[in-house]
Amino acid sequence: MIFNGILLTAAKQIKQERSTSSIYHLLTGSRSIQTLQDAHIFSNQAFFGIYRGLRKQIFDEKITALIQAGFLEETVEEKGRQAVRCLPEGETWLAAHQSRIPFHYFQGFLYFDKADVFYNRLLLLVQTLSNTNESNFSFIPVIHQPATERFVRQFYKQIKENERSYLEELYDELVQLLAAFPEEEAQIFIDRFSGYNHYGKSLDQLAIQYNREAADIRLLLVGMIHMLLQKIEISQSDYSALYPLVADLGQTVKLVGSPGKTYDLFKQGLTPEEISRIRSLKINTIYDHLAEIALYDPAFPFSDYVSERDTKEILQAIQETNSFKLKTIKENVHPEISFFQIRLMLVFHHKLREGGSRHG
Amino acid sequence: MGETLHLENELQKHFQYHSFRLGQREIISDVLQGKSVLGILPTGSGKSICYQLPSLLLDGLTVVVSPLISLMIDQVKELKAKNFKRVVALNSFVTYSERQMVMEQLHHYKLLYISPELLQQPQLLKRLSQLKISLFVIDEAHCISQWGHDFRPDYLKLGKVIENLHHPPVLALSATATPAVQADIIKSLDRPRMVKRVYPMDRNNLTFAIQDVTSDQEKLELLTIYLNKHYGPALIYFSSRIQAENLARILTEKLPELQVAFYHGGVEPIDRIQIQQQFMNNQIDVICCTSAFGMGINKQNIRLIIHYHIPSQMEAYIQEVGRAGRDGKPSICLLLYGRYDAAIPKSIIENELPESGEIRMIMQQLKVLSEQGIELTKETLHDLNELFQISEIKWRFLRFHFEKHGMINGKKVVYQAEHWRNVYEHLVKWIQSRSLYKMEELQEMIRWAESDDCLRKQLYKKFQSGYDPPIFECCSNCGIDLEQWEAQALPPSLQKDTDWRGKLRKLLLGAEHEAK
Repeated sequence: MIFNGILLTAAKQIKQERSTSSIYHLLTGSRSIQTLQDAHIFSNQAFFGIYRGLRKQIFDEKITALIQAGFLEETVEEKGRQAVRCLPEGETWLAAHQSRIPFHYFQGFLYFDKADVFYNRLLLLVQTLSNTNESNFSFIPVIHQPATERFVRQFYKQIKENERSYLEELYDELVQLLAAFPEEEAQIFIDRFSGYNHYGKSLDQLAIQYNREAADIRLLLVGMIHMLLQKIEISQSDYSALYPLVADLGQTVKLVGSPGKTYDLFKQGLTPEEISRIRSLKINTIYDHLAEIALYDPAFPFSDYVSERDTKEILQAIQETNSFKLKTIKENVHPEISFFQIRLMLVFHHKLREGGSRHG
Repeated sequence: MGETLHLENELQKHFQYHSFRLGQREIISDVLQGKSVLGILPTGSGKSICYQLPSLLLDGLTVVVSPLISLMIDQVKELKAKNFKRVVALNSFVTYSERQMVMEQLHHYKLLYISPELLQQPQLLKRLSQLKISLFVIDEAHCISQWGHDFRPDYLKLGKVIENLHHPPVLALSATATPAVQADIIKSLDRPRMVKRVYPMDRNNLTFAIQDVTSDQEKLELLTIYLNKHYGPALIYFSSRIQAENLARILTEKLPELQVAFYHGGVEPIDRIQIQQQFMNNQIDVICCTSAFGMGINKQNIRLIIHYHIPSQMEAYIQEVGRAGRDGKPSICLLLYGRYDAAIPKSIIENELPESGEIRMIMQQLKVLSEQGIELTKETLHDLNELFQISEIKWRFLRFHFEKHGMINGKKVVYQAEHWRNVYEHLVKWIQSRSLYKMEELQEMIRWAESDDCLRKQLYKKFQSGYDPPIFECCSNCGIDLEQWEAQALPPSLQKDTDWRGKLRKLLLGAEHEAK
């Protein structure tokens, strides 16, 4: 139900202006500039990266099932790629199930990276402490990731002296956080934990036990983790046992890799052409980077790239065509306006709409 | 005598075992004397001790090549849990930066587990060649043989790797290698003077039963009957992931007092660990699985192994049933045999390697790339893959042969009409003969399933002459009375229902707080 709800909502928001695969890239958190921008433009930020590791085949099967159920309809987007449209039946279904799907748990854009790290640390920490508390130092860790193992080992050394009191704090904090969820959700959350002489349930086992789809169990857990993260980060001092598990994880959304390098040069005041020369990259690549930078940099100087007159013209075209399609907008402005300028204005338009909201 | 005693002391000290099992001492002393050894030891006989103990006693690094990543991970975890800390695994699940870190620190380790693919990386190979490799271990050595049941092209390159590492002593280990495969291993490694240590693989505590069925419905009825009597921890092997999942659900409904789960290669890593460990920990009674399950599983008291589908080879079957009764107590291996089932392994064999049409198409595409001067980068390869939808295994197979025949040189495609034609013909012929061989193996398995003769005798005859008399019943052809078996049943594991607060309390604050 959750998975269906998210797919239908995502499809509804992108209004068949993007391909079906773009929904897949959204859910798996592809860090391509297109996906990142689309998430904002179509207000799908909440779902960004909430189903990492989703296999394409499973996604395709699910979409096909929704088409067969009459909730979605197959179409094509402007470049001729397969797209889907949310049909009235789909919207009716959504309206009927709205209250039972915890959409508000998800804050993918804020937590898509942190959620996994935090959850893995928490699972391994609980397993470790549960064992050491019983003086058992030989167990098979459920998380096999060197970085997570290192973190927990290090953390354990820090709290070893006060293990007992830390455990009591951790228990209180988790109880307090989980009590805010419906009983069954808290139950699912706890059943997944491993500890002393006990190994937690797999997603499939939980699915059978609680009579839900395995995908829904996974999404529910991701959503709950997002909620936990939000509460822990907002009132750090209230969660002195849990906050250290996220304290070292900086702002999730940051410019890394190649766009990050471009950003460094951009901040030094270099023009796109200069950056292109220095980095030996095509100018269009630099434009791609700038469009991404525009999304994150609150002080991005839009007026350096788009004149006041062009700004007006593009924004008007967006409004009139009621479309976010680059091609459609391009056809409705004077020919000297470039795709890059339109992309920047889409970001600008989005920022305008979002105002000062936390995703902005 | 002195040395023997010394070895037992070391075994006790490092692994807390009092004595060696069959073959371990002989292989270990050979290895410690710097000899190369081919060791054939039955499943579950503690093959890994044969290199784990030497790795601690020898000066330098022991490298273990293993094709099974999950096995690698399990062994590293187990060793670490036993306080053997200088061990590490490198495989495709280890991120690039972690790999770099391990490589820099490599001299600190005593034991390195590595996948055959990674061993092909020049950088890593160079780093290894700078170290003293005291022992080079090839686990599942039958993978090197084109006639083994699990041939892996990457294994064929191991001879070259060993050469690059300045010819350290080699220990090749396998649980299932017929005399022909053994000869093939020695030939591939070019070590004619290898010491052969071959131990009988028959297990006197296993009872073999075959039940003829005519439909899946009948299989389900039989499963329900057998599991209802509950013969203790059980594995049910399937050829298909989906059927393993479905049956796990159906059995959960039909037998609510049993804990049934499924396991296959598509299950994500954390869940694989949780399921395996629940089973080890007696939280699960029955696992519906594919052949992905069981490698490295060291559960002593598996009482019942059911094959829902017929395996494609005797070797695979022996390996899978070998997981039953490691504690030496009587255990049952039951094959539910429907004649209609043979279609599944047949289609697996047919689809395992590329067909002539697929090879031709890929070669044509490569030719186009070479004409356009396009290099084989990750992207072009990805595009090729998209185009043909060819499986990873097929592509690896082809790539191996293209490289071997100089058609691909690094990132370059080297086109030469006549040479390519020859390679094409050679490959098609090779694949045909291999498929034929596998079909014969399947026929052999089917003949066994349909035979009226003693199943024990027929199962082992390819590997050895004679076998130990069984300690319990022999096989369904010799006549067995499963009623008698019921006396051995274990009570099903119990699940306690507490609310989440209680569970969390127990987890974090310990058992004495449970009742609060």
